[in-house]
Amino acid sequence: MKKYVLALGVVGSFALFSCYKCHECHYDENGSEIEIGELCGEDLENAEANGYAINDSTTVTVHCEDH
Amino acid sequence: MKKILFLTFLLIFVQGFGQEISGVVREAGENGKPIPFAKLDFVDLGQIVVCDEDGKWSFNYQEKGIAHVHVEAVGFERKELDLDLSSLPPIVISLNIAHHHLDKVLVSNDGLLQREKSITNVETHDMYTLKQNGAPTLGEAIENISGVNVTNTGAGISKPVIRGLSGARVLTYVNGLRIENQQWGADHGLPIADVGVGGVEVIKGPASLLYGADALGGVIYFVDEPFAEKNNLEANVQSSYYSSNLMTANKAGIKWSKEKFKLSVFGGYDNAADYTTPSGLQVRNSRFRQQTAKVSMGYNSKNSVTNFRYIFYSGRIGLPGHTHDSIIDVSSFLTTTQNRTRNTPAQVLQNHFAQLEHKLFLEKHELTFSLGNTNNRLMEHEEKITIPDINVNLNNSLFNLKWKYQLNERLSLTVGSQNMVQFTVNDKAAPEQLTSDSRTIDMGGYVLMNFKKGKWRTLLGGRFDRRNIAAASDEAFDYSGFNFSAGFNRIGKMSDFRLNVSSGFRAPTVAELLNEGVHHGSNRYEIGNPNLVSERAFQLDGTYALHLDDLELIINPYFNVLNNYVISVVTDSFIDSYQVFEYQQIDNAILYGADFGFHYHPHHAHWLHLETSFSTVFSEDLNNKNPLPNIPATSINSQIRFDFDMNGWFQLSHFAVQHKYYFAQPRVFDLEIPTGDYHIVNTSLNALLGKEKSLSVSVGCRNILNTEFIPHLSNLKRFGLPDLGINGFISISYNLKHKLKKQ
Repeated sequence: MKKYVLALGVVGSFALFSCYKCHECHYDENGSEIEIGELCGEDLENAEANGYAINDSTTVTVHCEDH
Repeated sequence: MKKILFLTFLLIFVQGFGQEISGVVREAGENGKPIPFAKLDFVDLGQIVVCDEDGKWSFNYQEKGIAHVHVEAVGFERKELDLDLSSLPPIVISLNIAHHHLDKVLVSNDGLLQREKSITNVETHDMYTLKQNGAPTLGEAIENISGVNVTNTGAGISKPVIRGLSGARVLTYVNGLRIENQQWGADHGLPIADVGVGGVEVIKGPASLLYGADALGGVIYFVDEPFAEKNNLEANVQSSYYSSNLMTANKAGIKWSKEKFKLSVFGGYDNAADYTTPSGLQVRNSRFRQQTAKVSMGYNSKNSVTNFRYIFYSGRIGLPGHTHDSIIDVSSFLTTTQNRTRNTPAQVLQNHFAQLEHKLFLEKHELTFSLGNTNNRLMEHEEKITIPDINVNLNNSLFNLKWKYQLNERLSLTVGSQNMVQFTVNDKAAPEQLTSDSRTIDMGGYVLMNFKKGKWRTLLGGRFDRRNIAAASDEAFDYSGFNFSAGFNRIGKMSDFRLNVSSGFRAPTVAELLNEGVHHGSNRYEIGNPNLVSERAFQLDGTYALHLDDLELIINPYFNVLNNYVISVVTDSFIDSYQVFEYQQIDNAILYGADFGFHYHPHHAHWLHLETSFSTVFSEDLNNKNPLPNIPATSINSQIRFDFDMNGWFQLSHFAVQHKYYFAQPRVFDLEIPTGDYHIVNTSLNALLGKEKSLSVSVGCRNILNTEFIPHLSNLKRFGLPDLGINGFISISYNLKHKLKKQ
């Protein structure tokens, strides 16, 4: 029976498999790419949805895709 | 209302006064000895029964009626028969000793669709055979079927093409459930993975009569692995690795079966990085990952079977062919770093498929009703990793009813109804919208007459369909059409002959009528055409098959006439830097060709199998003599397989070499790119280990010559991107089987 529990555990582990959620991001300024560094999870989602605040008054559009 | 409630009660709960059906399996001939541990698969009932050591079997089920059974035993020829359960027990089944047996690779008269419904030649294949040369995905597996090709977008997206027809013209079924996943898009691939799939059956050509009006090009019908043998627990774990895209494919399943209740659970996870071309460079963003979970439950009562099946699929599939380079050539899409992190552009998919099916068997009646729901969420990410630009949900609810009445030994009547309500809803938060919000209602009814006498069988049927589309913009569309199918076959011991004429009707889809916007997956701007009318098809299809002791031959020519054929035409306009494509119709077109198969298994070399199939299709717009778009190249698929007969703890099972030759395809539509010919060679070696042969190891290499080729139906053709280069693989599988105590 232990064998079947083990097999069931393998099936379950597929469902719980997690993936890498962080990305290197940058924004464009005067024709050049300014690196921001790694953004992860909710920070990444917020930056893509609302822009990334580089200071109190400036929010920029970020690019996190791999080129 | 009372009548409806009564009918529902009758369908679900009526139980016959059943008794134990019993019998014996023995060798053919007078005084044939009992055959121990022969396996009886009651196909329609989903029950597998194993004989005891005296060849005896028993089955507590149906009082009367006919049950289709596959009977197998080691050292004996497999038998397929219709068992009359009203016979007095013990029912005796006799098997012939297998002195020399040629597996039916090409000629099948016993597939689910063939036996029940279709008079035409139906290709029936088990998934193990289709994948024995290491096909990494379901799409590549079905491309081994003669007359079936796939349109691919890198390694992660494959879409079936039957005799040159694809998209909304080819229906995908999984265990009787019609799957809807925005098939109109060339980049919208197969909506399932191969987890728990036992086999596939393919109907080539119009199959509207029984599968729905849209089946103008044919049907791909996936069949799940059967439930475990009665009173058994079975488990399987498999892990595979492919070198070209560093792909890992892992899957596992558990199957449990008692006297009446059966349960199967499967799970799988595939993860692939960008694939490597023959030059050694990687195609950027060709990575993908997909996960699947599947649950099947079955309950057998005295004279009915109820099955519930649920499939979950989710995937993130990279869309190659994207660049920010100002000067673009093929190097713009290639990279030297092989990556598997999520990226853009990409498709993110989530599918939920659920089906409840109930079959009721009475003496001369068989009643089937099924309820289904398919939900497909498609998100297309253009620039942002986490936020989709398009987010559209397609929800489809189905209700089917079928009544089969055996009028007498020779004549049966089938009457059915298939109904579908479909909602397409865009997420308003997404910045872009391609397909219009809409509601589609399909209703269809059919009648089928089946006549059998000796070796001859005749089938005649008609169907009426109606489609109503209501768009959010208050536009409404109404289509209706009548289809028929008529044919006969003669199934002999050594040869089969089939001839069939059938018509098809396909109403335009919402996408073809009302699309307006950027389609990131296809890298184009699409404009629908609300003036489209229904497509129609008329096909003549013939098959001759020869089945000797050591040779199989099959030839299957066809001729298909198409009216109002819908195509997507490239224009010289651009919107938002995307080239504009519009839907148009070709008044009259023809498609004709043939599939040919050959299988030789010489008497003097039982260990050798030679198989070859040839497939060709020719198309023409009759008005201007131009070819139709996206017609596959002619191909020859050959395989030589050595089966080893070894005993002991380590057994080599087989060694196979597959050679595929694709001819050049110079006959192309306006602005379509022609392609050259190419050869691909795949090899595989399989071994079984252990006392019970529980462990199976396969190693091999796909495209072992590292040939650089661009498939004619590749969506990456316009970027000049070749397919995968040399691709080594290893696959390890472990099977467990445990007998359960009888209650």
